Amino acid sequence: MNFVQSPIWWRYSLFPIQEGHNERICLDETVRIALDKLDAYENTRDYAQLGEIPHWAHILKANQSETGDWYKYINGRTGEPMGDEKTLAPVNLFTRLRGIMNSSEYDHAISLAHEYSNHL
Amino acid sequence: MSHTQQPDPSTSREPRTLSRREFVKRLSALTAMGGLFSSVFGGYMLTSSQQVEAAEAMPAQFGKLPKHQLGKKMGKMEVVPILICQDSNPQLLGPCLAAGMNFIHKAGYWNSMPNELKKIPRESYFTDITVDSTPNNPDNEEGAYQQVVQSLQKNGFGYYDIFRAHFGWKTVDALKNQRGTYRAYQRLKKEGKVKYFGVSQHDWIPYPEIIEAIIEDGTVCSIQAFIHYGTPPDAWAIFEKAHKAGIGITAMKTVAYGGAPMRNNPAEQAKMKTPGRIGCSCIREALTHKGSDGKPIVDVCVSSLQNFDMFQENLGAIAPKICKQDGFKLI
Repeated sequence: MNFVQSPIWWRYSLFPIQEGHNERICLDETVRIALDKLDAYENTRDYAQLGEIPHWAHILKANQSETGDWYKYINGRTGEPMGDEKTLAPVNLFTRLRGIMNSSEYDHAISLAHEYSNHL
Repeated sequence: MSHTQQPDPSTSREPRTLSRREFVKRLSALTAMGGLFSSVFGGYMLTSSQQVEAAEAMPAQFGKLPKHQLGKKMGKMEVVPILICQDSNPQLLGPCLAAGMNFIHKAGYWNSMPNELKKIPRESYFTDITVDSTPNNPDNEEGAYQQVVQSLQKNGFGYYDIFRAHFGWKTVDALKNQRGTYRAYQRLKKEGKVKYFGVSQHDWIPYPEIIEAIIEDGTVCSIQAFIHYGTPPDAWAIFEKAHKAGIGITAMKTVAYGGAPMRNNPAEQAKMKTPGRIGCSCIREALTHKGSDGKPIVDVCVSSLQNFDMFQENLGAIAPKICKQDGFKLI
């Protein structure tokens, strides 16, 4: 699958979009790509490998639902959900970042997801 | 292999290490001749101590970095106009401090105080904590209060200079009527745990509308917002109004969002005296963008530094020696 980067003026700016999927962003795919990059970082300890990941995490955190999950498919331009399917994939990203960055930035989001979800 | 015979990095599959002797030789050349970090060390995996040593040598190339007063509502808060970001490469924290950078954005997320900061007086640098009650639960007074208290218990900073409502408000109504976040700030200020109220405002609604409301509200001393090459004129106008009201203005996403339009505009790069150095161009443009009165609008910008080239290029935007070499006048 080929991915391109969403434009900066979109609500989900600089996110990966699968070519041919117009404005749709799949958060599971975003997280998969992010985790691959984190693997590369763990192997090299080259911080530049993180690239846009902190930015993606920043945006995802602000868009977590009150029930601790996220809509799986998003219109990246408007930020509106596409369909009803939900996902908890961003929690995996947050958990990895928490360890790498000695940071509490994602603690609340992780707790919220655990609190409301039976899937974890 | 002799330690003086290093492989050609361009043909190496794996990053190679540098001997002490070769490292010093290359670092000396970098210091004396200038040039980008990657041109000398690209393709090599430096040890942690080599990276720190290399970065600490760079400030000599910069000269003493300038400081800007951050707004007029927070007393004397003179800040090097590029802020350290908590999620930058931790190996760059020491070099950033050595270069004189004195404001750490998002310091409240650190679970423990980095060793580099334990060595210097707390009063020698400024911090903010980004408080996450906004945007989704702006009325969550206790949550906001506890985030600050618990973070201080963990990292030992003692206090934060700015309590910054993270992500800002999604509506003007939330700003005006859901005041729990502000009440948490008031409690914390009385307890000496924070000093000033600020916001990191995302553009949930157009900036002219929400920034106007923030100015009218009167409680916010510091606004951090998406400001970059490509920010539209109506947004610049409202930031100018906020600045004139005494509110400190911090630009964020300056390079991340400004990079693409800047890359496509060689004329603007030339105007910034930095052809091909996109990060440097973006920062200079944001810090020197002038309002209707001919004065700059942005006090400082925040930059997440991920590697040594970014450290070198971005700080070069404000470094006196680099500006002089480039023929650029910052302010």
